[in-house]
Amino acid sequence: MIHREINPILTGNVRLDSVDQQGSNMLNRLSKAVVMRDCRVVKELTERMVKVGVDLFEILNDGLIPGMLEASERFRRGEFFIPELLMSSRALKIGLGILRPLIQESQKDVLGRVVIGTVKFDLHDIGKNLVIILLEGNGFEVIDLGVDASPEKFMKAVEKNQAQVLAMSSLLTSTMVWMKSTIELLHESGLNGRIKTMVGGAPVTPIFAKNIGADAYCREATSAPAVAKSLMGLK
Amino acid sequence: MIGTKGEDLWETDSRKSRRLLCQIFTAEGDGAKACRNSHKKAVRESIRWGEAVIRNCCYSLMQITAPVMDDGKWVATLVASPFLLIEPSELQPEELPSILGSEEEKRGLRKAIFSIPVVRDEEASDAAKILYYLADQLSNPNLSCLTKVHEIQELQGKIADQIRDLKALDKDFNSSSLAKLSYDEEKEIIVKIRLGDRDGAKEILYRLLAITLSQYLENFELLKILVLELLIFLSRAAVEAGAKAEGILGMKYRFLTELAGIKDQENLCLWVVKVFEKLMDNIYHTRNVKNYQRLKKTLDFIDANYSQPLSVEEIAREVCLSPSRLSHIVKEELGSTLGGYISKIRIDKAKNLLVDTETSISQIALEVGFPDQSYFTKVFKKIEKCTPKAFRQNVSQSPELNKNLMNLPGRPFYHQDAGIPAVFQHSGA
Repeated sequence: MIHREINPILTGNVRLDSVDQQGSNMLNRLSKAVVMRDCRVVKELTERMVKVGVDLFEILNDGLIPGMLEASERFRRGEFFIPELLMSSRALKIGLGILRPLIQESQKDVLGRVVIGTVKFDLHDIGKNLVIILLEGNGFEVIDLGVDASPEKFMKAVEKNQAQVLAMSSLLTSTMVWMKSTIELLHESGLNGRIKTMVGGAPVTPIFAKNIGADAYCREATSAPAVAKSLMGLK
Repeated sequence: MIGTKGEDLWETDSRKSRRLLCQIFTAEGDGAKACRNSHKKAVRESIRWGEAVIRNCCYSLMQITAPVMDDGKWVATLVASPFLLIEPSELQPEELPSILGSEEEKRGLRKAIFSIPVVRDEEASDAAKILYYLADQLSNPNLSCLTKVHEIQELQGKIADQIRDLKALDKDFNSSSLAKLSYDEEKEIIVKIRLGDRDGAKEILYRLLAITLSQYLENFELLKILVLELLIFLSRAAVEAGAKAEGILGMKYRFLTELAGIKDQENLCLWVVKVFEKLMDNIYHTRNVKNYQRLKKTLDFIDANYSQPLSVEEIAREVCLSPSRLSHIVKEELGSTLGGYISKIRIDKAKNLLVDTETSISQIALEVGFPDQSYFTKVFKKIEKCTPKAFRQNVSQSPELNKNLMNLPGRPFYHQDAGIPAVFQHSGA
């Protein structure tokens, strides 16, 4: 918990107008800045925390991600409309843009290769992008197929990159069936022996994952690295 | 307005004067192509969701798109762009195109960016609605072909939300805990149907669909069977709640033929909700809303206080009615006396305690509000046709049976008494 110790020093230096000055700590304020869609503050806080040596994953897990989750929650409650949500994810992107190269740099050994994408017709990539950064930060090489990836696209990428893990995400009940189609295609082409599959996303459940023959279910973005490691037989 | 190939068909005067930035971008190499692609992708989403879509067009510039349809076919796109959701000065360097040109070009770019209108979040949402309305007017005959799409997507969103809630609620997330939940929700939905709480009942219906989909989404044939089962259950509840039996029978008859024509999960869910609405219409067109509010208050009060001695006078005071008026409303709406209803609630609670706990029968009698064990046993026997002791033994002697029932998809221990709260079975107990 480095941030609690460094917090008093930092509060003296940082001048922030649009977020709560009384915020109990920087991470909290970072979360709020994401919710309030204040990119300038997100950038300033993230850079400052990096500079004083706050753990990169802490910035991600306790600052940026909770902020984005809060924004999604407000959208769900009808307090935010699409424009607000878009601007929150823009703020998140700015923060991630700072962290990602640093996280990539900090990793030397490659544990394995993961192909990732959102399934066909699904354009929701916030969760998937978080998973990518977390996987990279834990020593995985990630091949990102982006959004709207068809079963064929997944299969080709798996073959071409000799990946060990395929990660699929879906945010809609209407697109989840494409996970099933993709896994079936892997079976048909005999790739299923070489590749392990993991699935996740808000409406995806462990029961569904099991029924479609996925090797693992990933409850939330932050557990993705552990799930991928266990799929590869690493601890 | 742009055509299906991305060609400009028409534009407003105000846009002509403001498209400076777009001209700079599209002049650059693949700019025009990227622009067309972005419009095309956006309109594809519009058609898929049945609404105007707000998204980036390039860099941080925003656009709103809505489709114009001719007889169900996409013929043109209405685009409102470009606009910004933040002040241009707030834009981060990585969100801006880098033009490696002369100072003059850079100044031109700057000027162009500052000429783009900045729109507040809620203005953008409103503009999206207006654009969709315009597209609706321009379409032939209108955009009603997308209404169903929109309904489907909205419903899927609600179900997805419910699944998310289920996951948050239940860390283990296994079939048996879901079966228990679905059993509880079914009991609840019957009460809501009975009370005329249409929105409340619908909310539970979404949850029931979520419980089913969270387990069997990939198995469409099984989904159909489970959904049919759910509908039959709901129609029974509707009849119990006062719907005309003949009308419902006709509906049940149609279920099978209609169901056969449904080809995917999305349409299946929408169909269930529509049928449910019809069932509700069947019940409520003659109902007295005021009575329902009073009745709801009464039942809530009983539910919170069943463990205490209750008198008609006391409840009547609580809901601001005279005792005789209250008795009359209860009899009319529930088809049962107030005393009979209270007894049934107490026995229901007692049954749960008998099954789930080791508590002694005399203790249970007191906990659910009976003065002593012998009176409890007498009432229990009248309603359940067996003694509390025998009931407990029956359940504990067939654990396998219960376990199996618990693991069934959908409806665990679905026997007559458990499925439908007693109110509907005991008239004038």
